[in-house]
Amino acid sequence: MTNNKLLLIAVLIAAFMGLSGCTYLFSGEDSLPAVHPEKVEGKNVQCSECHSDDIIPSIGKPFSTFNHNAPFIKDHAVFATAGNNGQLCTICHSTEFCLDCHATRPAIEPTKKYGDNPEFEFTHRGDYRTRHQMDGTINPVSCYKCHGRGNNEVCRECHR
Amino acid sequence: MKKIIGFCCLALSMVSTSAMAVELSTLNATTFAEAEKVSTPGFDKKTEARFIQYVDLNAAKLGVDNLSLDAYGWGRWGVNTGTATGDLSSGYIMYRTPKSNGYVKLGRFYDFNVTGVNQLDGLGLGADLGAGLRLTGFAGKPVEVSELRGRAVYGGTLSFKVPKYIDLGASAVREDGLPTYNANGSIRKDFQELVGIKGWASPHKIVELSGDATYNTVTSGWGEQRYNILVRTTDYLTLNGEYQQYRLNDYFATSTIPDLFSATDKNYKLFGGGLNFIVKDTTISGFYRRYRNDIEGNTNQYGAQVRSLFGSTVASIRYMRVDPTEALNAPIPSYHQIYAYLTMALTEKLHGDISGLVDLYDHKVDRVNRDYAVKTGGSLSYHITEHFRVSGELSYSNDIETSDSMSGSLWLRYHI
Repeated sequence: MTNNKLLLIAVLIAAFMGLSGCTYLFSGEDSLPAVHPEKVEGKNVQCSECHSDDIIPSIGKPFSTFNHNAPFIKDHAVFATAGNNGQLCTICHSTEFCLDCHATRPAIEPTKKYGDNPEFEFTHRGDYRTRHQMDGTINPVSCYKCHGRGNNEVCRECHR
Repeated sequence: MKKIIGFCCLALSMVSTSAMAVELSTLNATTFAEAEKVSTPGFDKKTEARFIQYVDLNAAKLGVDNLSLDAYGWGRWGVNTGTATGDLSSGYIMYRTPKSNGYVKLGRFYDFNVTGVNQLDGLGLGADLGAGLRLTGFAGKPVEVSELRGRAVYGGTLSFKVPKYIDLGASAVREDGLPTYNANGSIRKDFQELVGIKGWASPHKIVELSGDATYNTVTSGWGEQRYNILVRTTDYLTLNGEYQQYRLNDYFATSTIPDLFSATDKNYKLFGGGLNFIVKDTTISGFYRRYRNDIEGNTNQYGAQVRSLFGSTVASIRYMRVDPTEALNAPIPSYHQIYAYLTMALTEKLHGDISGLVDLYDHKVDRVNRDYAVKTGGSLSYHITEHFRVSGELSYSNDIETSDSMSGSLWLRYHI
């Protein structure tokens, strides 16, 4: 790592510590809990079933926004990267949950890891070796979401 | 990698030797074993077997409240090849502040922001500031698995929200040493730099607008734009619409496989919509998408799914159709897909499921005289204790590449 990068890290730490010293700069609201107080299980969890439709403190969005229905699951990236929502996700989901799909170097495809749970409708289920040629032709960015900047080994087996 | 493992071991030993309180919040350990017998036309039949061990742990209260250790990794052994590989995907120590959602983390971790996903060995920090602002940042050495890898990656996100109505944010990420490519495959710059914006707004309680866009500062173009509208008419009926636009010259310019994901002066768009309807214990969802691809042509994709809960039994069937309407070059393949499954609790501790997936291709696929593929299987899971479960699966597939394939898999899952 170059001196410039080390300097940048030092500046970031100093800036954060400086901001910490000026506590009035921070919101002062209670942080989100590290884990959900009650165990939540099952698929298609509807947050608003228990929380009504209140606004989530320090998130600023209603609980219903995070109901795990089809549109939310498809567009979960928008919510996982916005505001505090990455921290909101980790209240219920472990690191493993995210990395099952987003790891740059998975052990095997998620379809096999969760072969004993057909409710996970992963893309690679079934004859995907054939189908990916079709899906990649139709939608060239669909592969790139997970492959192309990492997780490349499987591509390199054929695309040399 | 060695530094990270050493760092984590050092941290753990410091904790244990000082007899400080450590609370194990989460431990997920999955042992996976698979044996597969494959028959490929023109080749000898072969049997492959592999073992994989996953470990995911989160230890809270490392001596002091709010200081935690998070680690996730796996090891794999190929029985046939005799090779062993492994990966520490994530391993970091994090301190969370009781107020303002502040955190500092050090080690190997992933940063998810609007410009993409970055895995790094380094430092991450963030906190809610006053006036609805939030600032996060990260810096370190990239851990991307590629022949090409950057020397350093750093970035941050500044977001602003008005609770209930608006959440806006902007991210910037730069990775030194990882090239940005021209359309002809030559290297334009020896670094990648992306700026992203994101937004969420709810002008009315039943309407949510969201979207994000990524700007490639090296190629000076918007690589990706995505916009969504969601209308929650009742608690049970949700409608959504989407529009996406990609400029491949800017979007693929950051690929680490430039010969596969080629930056070209073409656009790619899609628009569509869907619905999600919940009635009692049944969920019905459907979608339509229209792909407009300047390189290959246009395609319609649509489908529907019905999922019902009967006590502890879940039954689901999904249909999807991919239907090209205009091919600019070679014909675009089209197919139907049907996927169905049934899961049930046979006893309090014994659960079972069966599933089947069929692809029906409209034309015979190249090389083989086949126009369909089938995969079917079933599994049983036995909950030995509340935290420990053993599962086994048998599956059969008959697809384009392999005329017949039988596989058996075993999982031991431990979770607290």
